[in-house]
Amino acid sequence: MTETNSEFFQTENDTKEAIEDTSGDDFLHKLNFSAHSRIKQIWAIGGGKGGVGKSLISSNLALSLARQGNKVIAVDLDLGGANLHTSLGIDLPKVTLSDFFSNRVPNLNDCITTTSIPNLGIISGAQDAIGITNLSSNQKAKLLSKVKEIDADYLIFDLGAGTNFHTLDFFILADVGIFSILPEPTSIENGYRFIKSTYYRKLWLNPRLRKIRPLVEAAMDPKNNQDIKTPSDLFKAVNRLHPDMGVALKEEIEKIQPKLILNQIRTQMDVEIGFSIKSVCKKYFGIDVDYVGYLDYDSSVWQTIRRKRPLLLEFPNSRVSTSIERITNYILKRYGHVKNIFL
Amino acid sequence: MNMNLEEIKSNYYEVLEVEPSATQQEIRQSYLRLKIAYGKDSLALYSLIEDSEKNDFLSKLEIAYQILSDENKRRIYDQNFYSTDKMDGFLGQPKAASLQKQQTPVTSIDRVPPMQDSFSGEDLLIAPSTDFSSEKATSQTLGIFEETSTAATPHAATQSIPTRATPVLDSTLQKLSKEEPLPELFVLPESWMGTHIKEFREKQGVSIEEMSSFTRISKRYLFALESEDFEKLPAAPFVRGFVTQVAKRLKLPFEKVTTDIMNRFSEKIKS
Repeated sequence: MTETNSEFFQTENDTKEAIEDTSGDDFLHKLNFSAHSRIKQIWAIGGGKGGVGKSLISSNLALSLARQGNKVIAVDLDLGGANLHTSLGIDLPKVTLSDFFSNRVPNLNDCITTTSIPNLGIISGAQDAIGITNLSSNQKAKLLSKVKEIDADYLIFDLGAGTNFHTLDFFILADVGIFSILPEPTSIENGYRFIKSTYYRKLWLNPRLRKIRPLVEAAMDPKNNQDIKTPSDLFKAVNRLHPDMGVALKEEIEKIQPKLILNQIRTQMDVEIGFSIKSVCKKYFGIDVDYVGYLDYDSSVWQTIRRKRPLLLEFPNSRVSTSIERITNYILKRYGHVKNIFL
Repeated sequence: MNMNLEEIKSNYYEVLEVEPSATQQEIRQSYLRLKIAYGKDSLALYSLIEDSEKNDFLSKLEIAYQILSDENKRRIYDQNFYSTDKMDGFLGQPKAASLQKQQTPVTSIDRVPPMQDSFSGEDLLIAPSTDFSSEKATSQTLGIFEETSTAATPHAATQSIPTRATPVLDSTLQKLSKEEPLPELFVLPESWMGTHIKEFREKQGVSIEEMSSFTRISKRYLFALESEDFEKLPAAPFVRGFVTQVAKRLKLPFEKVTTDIMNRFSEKIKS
């Protein structure tokens, strides 16, 4: 719980900083590039809490995509807690994002470490540099602008726990944002906190909604003096104070469509929780969560972690492996881009 | 508070998260799933939904299921509140009429759904370019209840009315669909009761049979309404629809009439 609280307070402080942080405007431009350059697609995996399977899902989604012939780069954005390379069974890469931030390598492509798996590369998080978790806005902007130069069909972002703005922004930037939740109160609490944070952050960043930013800011602070406690309250306040913005807000809210994976499922009741979360999110936030699949609780998973081998390679026939492949195919079919055959 | 908007807003299909074309089986499955989602100890509510909100939703769910799981009740509900072929969006403007007539189209945004409670006081439905205080705007927005607005253009009237009315009703139609407002010599009561409806109906020379044929509300219900024999009436949402329809037919200030009579209705039912 201590961890949870500290995350929470950090979010509140961050909110203030972000409000004063004008670099958000620059960031907005960068947000849009993925809409224009559809050649590659970014999938981000978050979830708010540690240990909910973000790295497991990231590494195996990346693997699954790569095995289908896509050029995939897995990017470890859990700065300060990077271990995606371990999940993928490779040693600590020599070049990491630290080198990129400190200008030791000019290009993000130079940070890519190849793996033994064809088509799959990895950009490791900043492993060693102390304090690298506190990215400056400039560093973040630099990373976001260079990400589009990476040569790949799919980028898989493995995000860190918590709801700091870097994590939220990487999630928002992605074409497909996936959050992982366990059927446990702690995970659900942090999962909702994560959704809530990305939700408000995305509305706040949206240039179309600039006029109602003060109201969104109020909504981000649970103790605001305008009595905006829920997204519904925000919507009412917007309609009361800026009736012309109601439609825009509604449209922008509908664009928020996170994907949900429920991990460590033990019973059928656990499976149902995904549908319940979907329904609750619709009621509370007004957003459509797509419940893209669930992963069984499976002892093969910890064995693969101990062996430092990717699950999909070590136990290709396990239920979790087939579930991950099914989820990959579903997302590809529903949200994946068409590869540019002219390149 | 605009009662009609309030009614339309409480869309039972949305509460049950099904399409209006859903089969009984789909409705039941969705109902059971939602019962679990909002049930006691549901993990999915943790930290987001408070108990009071949960209970509110559950009671709404029960009402919605009670109505939609019964074919008869569902048909009445569809006719009165939710007509997919006539409504263009949630606010229910008849499609043809809205295209032909409206110079300034009503921008209808239904709602961003978050957790709003259709029985709470505040109206989430907004139509930015519409002034609800003007009679015209009201009739545009509430087109589903108001064929009289189409009577202004004879062509439109002949198109839309025969689907609802039988030839016998021609005289009633004329009586009821005049554009004239209520004659000024009619003194409106401060608080509306069932007997007032009867009084105004009779003053305008509309028989109970004519009213019944035109509104498609059974005579039994109309009698019960006028005599405030509330126990003989169906559930509150239906009664509200009845009162609104009748009041609009009689050119009465239907919002006030509906509010007053529904207050009396709920008091009586409670006691």
